[in-house]
Amino acid sequence: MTFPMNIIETDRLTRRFRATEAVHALTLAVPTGSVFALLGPNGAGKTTTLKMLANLLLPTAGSARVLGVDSRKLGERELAQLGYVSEDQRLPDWMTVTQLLGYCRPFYPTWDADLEAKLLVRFELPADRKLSQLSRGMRMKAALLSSLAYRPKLLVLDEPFSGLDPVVRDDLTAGLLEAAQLGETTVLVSSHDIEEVERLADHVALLDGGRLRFSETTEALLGRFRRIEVDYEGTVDSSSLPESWLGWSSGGGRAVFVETAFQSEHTERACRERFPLARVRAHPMTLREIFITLARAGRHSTEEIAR
Amino acid sequence: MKLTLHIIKKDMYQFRWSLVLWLACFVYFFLFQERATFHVDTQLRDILRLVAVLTIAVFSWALLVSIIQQDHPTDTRAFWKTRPVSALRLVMVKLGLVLALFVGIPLLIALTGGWLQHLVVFNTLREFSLMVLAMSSVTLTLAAAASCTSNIVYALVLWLGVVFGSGTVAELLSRSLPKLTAHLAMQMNMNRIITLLVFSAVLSLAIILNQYLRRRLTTTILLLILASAGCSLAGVLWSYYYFYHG
Repeated sequence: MTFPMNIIETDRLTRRFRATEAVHALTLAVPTGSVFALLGPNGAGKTTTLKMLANLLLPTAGSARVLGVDSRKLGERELAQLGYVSEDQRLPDWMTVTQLLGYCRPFYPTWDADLEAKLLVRFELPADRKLSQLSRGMRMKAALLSSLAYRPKLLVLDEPFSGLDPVVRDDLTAGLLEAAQLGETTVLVSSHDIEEVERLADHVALLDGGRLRFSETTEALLGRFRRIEVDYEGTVDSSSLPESWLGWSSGGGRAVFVETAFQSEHTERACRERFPLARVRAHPMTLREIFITLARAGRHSTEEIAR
Repeated sequence: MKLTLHIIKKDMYQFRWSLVLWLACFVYFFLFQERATFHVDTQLRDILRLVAVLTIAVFSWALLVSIIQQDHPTDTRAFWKTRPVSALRLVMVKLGLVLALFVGIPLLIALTGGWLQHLVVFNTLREFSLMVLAMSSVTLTLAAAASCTSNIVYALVLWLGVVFGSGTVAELLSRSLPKLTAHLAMQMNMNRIITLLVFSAVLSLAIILNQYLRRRLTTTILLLILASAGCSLAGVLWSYYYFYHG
């Protein structure tokens, strides 16, 4: 079965818990074949969004299409192509790793025994040990293995790196990258672990307070954000700065800010208009630096931040 | 069907030791009840019987709730929720399993007991039917309580709360009821019991199906209120019916 261009599409997806609106009118598209990261601080609505997409929670308003069907109507056929791993998932702790895999296997017509064996070795999982006796990292690996072995079309990961040591994170990331590079699996990962996400994701979306701040390719995002340093003489008027400049600070003949709509010529021209004799330098930013800048500029409206 | 059996097999395997012990309790009770050939005095036998009954009741309760809550219908963290298991398949598995265990097996034991005592089952069909109805009703109400709560204690509190709550209301309402003759009262009690059992079973089934298939909390709460109020009223209205039409 082939899927449309977007394996996930949401339309004004909303979820309220009594008076609290956890997700507000979220309209989002996850391209098929992408590794899509949903970023945001704690309480941003990431987990609620993923739970609605996997039909674990019903939306209060709006709708979502996952694997070509309404998320509320995900049946056994669609779920056989969907992998879901969450930090708070309740695994059947009384099972050993072998029993877990043996239990899952018959549900999936596409289960790949060779891949299962390969991942078991790669993740260094003790096959005969009960899940209740495994560490958090090992349990996460077991859950991921049971969700990768059938080569799902869509893999949804909710905070998979949370609380894991660097070695386990590396193993998980390597396993995910391998699955994604085969091009068969679209990965949707929610996290506030930006370093890991930067290694993985080719698309990024930021949720804050249940609202979508932006959604674009990692390349475009990294391309349009620059930390600008300007060495100037005299004084500057900071009252009429462009809206795309965030985190402005100046003093001692140097001004520093973040340009959120960087275009080499355009940005340089904008700087020259304000500081005719200044020396302007533009530094690329990491996803983490961008995330922190946006979090600090949280009071700015979506329109100000967006392209 | 293969997947349905696969899930049943998983449940049976998970609870294998509890099931063995539970069955052992049943056999023990059956030996005392039906074939009391032991040379023990009556008082000791009664105590042993009571212990066996209580053990079976507690064991059955814990086993039933565990079977339901192991794959909880509404817990978003439940493992089955993200696996290719439809809610319909799971509810069929769970209901089939608990009814087979807690209605099928007692019925089988009762039938075996009847056969050993040379009873003609056809002649006692009414008793057996009533037994099946009572067992089904208790099993379904317990399963409904288990599906609405997150652990054994909460399930017990909910079940006892609904049973004793509606019982107390019925008791209070019955103080103003018209007096019936002994004959009419006897007739009424049987019909009243059957009505209550059927009503509880149907409402419980509705709650279970809502918990698995629709997941509407408001509907579950309304059904619980309807069940409590309905049982109280059903316990009372029969008296009026018999008083005016009996």
